[in-house]
Amino acid sequence: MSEAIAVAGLSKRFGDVTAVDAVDLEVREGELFSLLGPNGAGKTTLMSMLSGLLRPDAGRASIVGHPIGSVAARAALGVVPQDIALYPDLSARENLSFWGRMYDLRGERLRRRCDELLEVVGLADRQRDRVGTFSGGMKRRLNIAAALLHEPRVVVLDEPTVGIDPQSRRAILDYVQALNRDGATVLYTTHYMEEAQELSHRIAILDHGRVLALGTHEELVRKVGEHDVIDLEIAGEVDLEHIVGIFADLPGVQVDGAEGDGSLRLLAEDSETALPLLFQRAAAHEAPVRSVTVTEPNLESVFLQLTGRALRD
Amino acid sequence: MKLLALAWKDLRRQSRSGLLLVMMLGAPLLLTGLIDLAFSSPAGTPEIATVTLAVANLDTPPTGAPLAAGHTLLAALSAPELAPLVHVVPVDGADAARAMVARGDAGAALVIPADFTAALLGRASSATATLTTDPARPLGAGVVKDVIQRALDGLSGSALAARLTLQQVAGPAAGALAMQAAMLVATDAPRGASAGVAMEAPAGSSPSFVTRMAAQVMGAMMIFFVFFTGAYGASSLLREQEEGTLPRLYTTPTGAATVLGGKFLGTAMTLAVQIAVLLSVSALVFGIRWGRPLPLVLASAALIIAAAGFGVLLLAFVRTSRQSGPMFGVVLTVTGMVGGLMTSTFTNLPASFELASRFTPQGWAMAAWRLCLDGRGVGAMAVSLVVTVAIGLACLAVGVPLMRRRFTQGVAS
Repeated sequence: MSEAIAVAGLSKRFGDVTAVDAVDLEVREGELFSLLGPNGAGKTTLMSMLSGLLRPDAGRASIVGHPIGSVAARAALGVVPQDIALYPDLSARENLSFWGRMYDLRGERLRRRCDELLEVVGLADRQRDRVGTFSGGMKRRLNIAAALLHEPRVVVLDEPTVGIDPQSRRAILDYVQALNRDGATVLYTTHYMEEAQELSHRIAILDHGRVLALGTHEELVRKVGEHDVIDLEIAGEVDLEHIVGIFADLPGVQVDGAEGDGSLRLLAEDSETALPLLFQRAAAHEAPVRSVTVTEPNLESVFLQLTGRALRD
Repeated sequence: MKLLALAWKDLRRQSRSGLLLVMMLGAPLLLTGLIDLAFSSPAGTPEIATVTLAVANLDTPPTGAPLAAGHTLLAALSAPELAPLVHVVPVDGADAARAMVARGDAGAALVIPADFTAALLGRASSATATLTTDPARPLGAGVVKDVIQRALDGLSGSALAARLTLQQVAGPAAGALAMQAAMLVATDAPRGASAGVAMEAPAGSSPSFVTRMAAQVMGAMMIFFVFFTGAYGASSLLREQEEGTLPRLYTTPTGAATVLGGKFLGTAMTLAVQIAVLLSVSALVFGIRWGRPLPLVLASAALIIAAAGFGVLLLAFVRTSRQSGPMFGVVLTVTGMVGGLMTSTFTNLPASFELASRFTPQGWAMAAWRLCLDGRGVGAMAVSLVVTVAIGLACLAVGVPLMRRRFTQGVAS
């Protein structure tokens, strides 16, 4: 499979801040690839460089073999910016028609693509209305449609579901998947772990401008081990050594840490099997459990493991 | 094609902005309409308060002269047809005439010099009739100037070879400003020429004083608001940057030069539409005759270049679209005022004011439009046209590189 996007040692600094730090990654043709990271991780800066909006300070990148920023690269790209970038005083159709012209579409093909996309994003019946009168979700959908008029080989979407209602979000996710099924390579940035998990063939976790991990969802989870994390809180006066001793010899469970206030973190191979045993052992030793939290391994825990911070911090 | 698509998009957006339409078209037409309404009766004839004109006739015709030009001029000004406009009060001596103006008893004072007839007959090199006007009553001064001009035209026509020049000088009394009408008479002026002067009230089929005044106001207001539209058009780049559509444009296979060129073309097209609509509507509604077609087109083109160029230059000094409103408002109002756009109907402004106006693009644009309104040809307008265009191009020469650096900064293309 050939590379739709190739990035090698790409860096960008703003004063003393390194927004993107020697990033290497490859997105294969036909792949749906997510960049996952918290706000400020460098996702948008990386996207801006790939879109030709920012000159990299170092490194190189190409879109379907063309250097980023070149006319050929931009013609092959469909960019969906993070913020709505439409003309509020023009109608939905006028907006699409204008953006289509900027992608060199003319005449019948332009009309046909406008019709198709208005239908796809569910705005055919509002096509004559000014965009300024649309809801946030409708604007988001039109914002995506404007990037797809020229049937680009590579589509980059920068957090396209920020600040919209669940229904519109679902529609956008479905549409991104359909787009990928139809053959487009998709680069998707998000700080929503669930979106990356649901959509992507592969995911790159980005923080402080660096790629911390890259792979499929399963590969990333495997990196932090296959244990469920059980956080326990024991009520009353606590003898830390005694408490740790209670659970130490439970099968498939290991103690990962304990605090003097009775907080305990256990790693279990299978939390469903371990929990009943855990409660029995606690009751037998008159150590009442005040609360228990089970976390199955996911991208959040991968990020936590890699950075020591939660993804949404 | 992309250039046109960009320009057409801007034109379309601006045509949908109610506030902008009011500023572009409503305000200049409304202001001109108010002037027209204030000075016109329902029948369309001028309704201006009669101006008292103190006349000191010092003319002493040479012995045996076939006419007494001062007396003829006085009689012409006292004609019944002019009674609704000018009430002539003969006085003894120049000082008495000027004193009436200083006291407010007269709106203007005309001093006919002793050698007036002699000059007309070629027996003296020149003679100067001095008109002193009350600066607090500029409209009355305009009427009197108009009436005297017609009378002098009649006299010079009688003298066949006579030429007439007008100039403005500072007046002597109470800070009043004076207008001198100097009659320069050819050396071969025929003796014995008759001196009958036929006077008519300025009405009928010829452009009335009120219409000319409306034209001056309309021209000035058009220039004033065209400069605002030019600045607003330039600032649309800022708005597009803030709305995110400018960065998005740079993600398409469209060059930065095309994007910026499209913005400039859009502004120029908007200005052209604004001028065309204002000229057409004012011609239809107020009966303004804007002059000959070619000078009109050239004056419009020069105005478009100057307004668009000045807008681009101003854009270099604002950081956000929120700043642009107050900043453009202050700069364009001040330069418009200095450029004489608020005093376009005043005929008695000091020379220093006229000089100051030439330091603004609006002042030069107004000079070109005045000549156009007077029906002058391209040759007469050449200097003001060239300077107006040159100012516009100079603004672009400074502003475009700044704009380009600012609005394409970091863009990889």
